Amino acid sequence: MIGKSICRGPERISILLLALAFGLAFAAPSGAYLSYTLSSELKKANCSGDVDSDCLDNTEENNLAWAASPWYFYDEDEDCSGWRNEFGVPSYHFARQDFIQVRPRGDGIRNWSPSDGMTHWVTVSYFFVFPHDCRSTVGFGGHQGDPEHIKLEFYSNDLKTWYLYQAFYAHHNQDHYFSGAYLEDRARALGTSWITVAADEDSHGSWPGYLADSTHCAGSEDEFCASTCDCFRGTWRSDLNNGYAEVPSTSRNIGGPAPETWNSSVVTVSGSAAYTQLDVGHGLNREYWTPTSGQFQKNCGWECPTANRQSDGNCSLSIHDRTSCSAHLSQKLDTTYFSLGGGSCVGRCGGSAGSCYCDASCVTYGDCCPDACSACGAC
Amino acid sequence: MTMKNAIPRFLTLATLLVLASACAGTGTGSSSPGLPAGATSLGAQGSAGAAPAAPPAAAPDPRAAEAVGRELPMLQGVQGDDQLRTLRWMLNVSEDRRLVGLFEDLRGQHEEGMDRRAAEARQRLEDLVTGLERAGHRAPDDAAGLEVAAADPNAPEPNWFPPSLLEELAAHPGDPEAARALENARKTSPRGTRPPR
Repeated sequence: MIGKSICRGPERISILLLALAFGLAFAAPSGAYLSYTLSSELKKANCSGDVDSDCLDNTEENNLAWAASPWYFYDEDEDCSGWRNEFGVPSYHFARQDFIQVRPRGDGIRNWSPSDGMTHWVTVSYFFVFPHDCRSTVGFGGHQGDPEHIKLEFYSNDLKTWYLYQAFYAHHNQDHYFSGAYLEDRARALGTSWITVAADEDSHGSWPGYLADSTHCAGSEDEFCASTCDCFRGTWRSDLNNGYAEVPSTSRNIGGPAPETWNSSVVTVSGSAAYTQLDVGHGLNREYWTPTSGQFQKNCGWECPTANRQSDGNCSLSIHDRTSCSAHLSQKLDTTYFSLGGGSCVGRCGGSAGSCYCDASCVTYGDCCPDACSACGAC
Repeated sequence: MTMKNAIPRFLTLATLLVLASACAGTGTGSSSPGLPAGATSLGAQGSAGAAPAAPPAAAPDPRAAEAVGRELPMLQGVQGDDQLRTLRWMLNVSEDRRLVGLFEDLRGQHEEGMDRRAAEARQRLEDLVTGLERAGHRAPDDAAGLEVAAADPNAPEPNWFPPSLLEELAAHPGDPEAARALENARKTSPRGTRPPR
C-alpha cells in the first residue's frame, strides 16, 4: 500500500523537508486585523445584486456595514443627542441620523473575482448626522447641523472575508488615521471584535478610544476635568459591559456620487442633485448631499425651514439657541475614483485612475493609463 | 514578513501535508473520503437516480419577505431567499447586542436594559427566519457556524494598494499614521507595478 510505505524510512523525512520548503516558500506575510466575513461574496458574477452602479451586491454592502459597524459611545455629560438633551424636548429633535456609503477602489471592478489573486479594496463610510451641536465654550460655539463621519478601509482576497486595514476618524476639522493593527489591538484589549466611536460631549467628534480601563477617547477636546471625565460615562470597558454602547443603524445606504448612483429609496434625486428630507421637530426640511450654492450651501441638520435659509447658508430662525449652520454633507462624502472597466485619465491629469497613472512620471515608471498621452500629454 | 508570522502558517501547512500524505491510500478504496464505510454521498445517490423526483415547489408566499422588509429596512426589496441567507448569517454573530441596531424601535429604547433588548432582537430574527422557511423560501446554510466578526492575529497582508489610497495618505503629511501606512503601501505597490491578476 502506497499510504503505508510513505510513512516509513527516508521517504517520511523527504515529505517533511518538502513541506518545510513549501511552507517557507509560500507563507504569505500576515498581520493582526479585525475581520468580517459575509454570507456571500460582496461582488458577484455579472455584478448581480448591484443597485447603485458600483458592481457590488447591495445586500452584502449593507451586511458588511452592519458586520463592521462600530460601538458608539456617548460622554457622561452628553446633552445633545437622542439619548438626552438639555432642552427637555422629545428625543427625535436631537437623535443621530445614521447613513452609510460603500464604494470600491481601483479599476476593473467588473472583473473582480474571488480567484483572481488580487487584493480588492472597498471603503465603508459611516455618517453620524446630528441635527444639532450644543457645544458652548464660554457662550460661543455650537450650531444647527452636525455631520460627523468615519471611513473604514477594507481589503479582501476572496471578496467574502474583509479585513479592516485602517480607519479615518474625523473630529472638528481634524482628521486622523488609525491603523487596522492598532484598532485590532484596542478591540482585543476590550474583549470585542469591533472598533469604537466615542463621541465627545455635545459636539460629537469621533474618537477611537484609547485605553480599555480609562475614560480617554484619544483626544484632548473633552479634557475639561483633568482627564477624569473624558468620552465615556465610566471607563471604556465598563461602559461596554454595562450596555452603554449603541450599534449605529446601517439601513440607509445612500449609494453615492458618480460613477456610483444615488439610492433613491434613501435620498431624493432631482436632476443632478440629491437630498434627504427629515422632520426632526421643525417640519419636513431638506439637506443636500450634492454640493450646493446659495441657501443650501451649509448643513442645518434639518432644523431650518427652507423659508428661513439665508443666502449664506445659515438660518434666520434661532433653533435651540443657534442660527449658524455647519459644514455641508458633500464634504464628508467618499468621492474616490473607481472604474468598472479600465482606468481613464479624462479629468484626472496629474493623478491616478484606478491602477494606473496620468502624471508625467508615468512614462518613466511605465505605469501610464492607456489614454495618458491623449488625455494628459503624458507621452 | 516576520518569522513570528510565518511560523504558524508554515506549521499548519506542514501538518496538513504530512497528514494528507499519511492518509493517502490508507482507505478502502472508497471514492468519497470522509464518509463511513458503506455510506454513499448525496451526489452519488442523485446520480444513481434512486431518489424519486421532488414535486415542483410552489412559489413562496411573498408576504413573509415583505414582513422582513418592514421589520428590517436594510432588507427591504431583497429576495426572500437572500433574506433567509442573510438572517441566518446575522444570527451567527457572537454578541447579541449587535442585533439591537437592526431594529429601529429597539435601538431607541434607552430605558430598557441592553441585554433585554438583545434577547428580543434575537427572538425577532429567529421568528423572521421561521416565517420565511414556512413561506417556502430556501437558502443554502453554508453560513452556519461562520464567525461574522473576529480579531484575526494572522490575517494575510494585502498584495496591492490602489493608487487612490496612496494619494489619499500622501495628502495627510502631518499625520504620522498616514505616513507610516503610505511607506508600507509604497513598499508593496511601488510605482511601475500593476496589480497582480
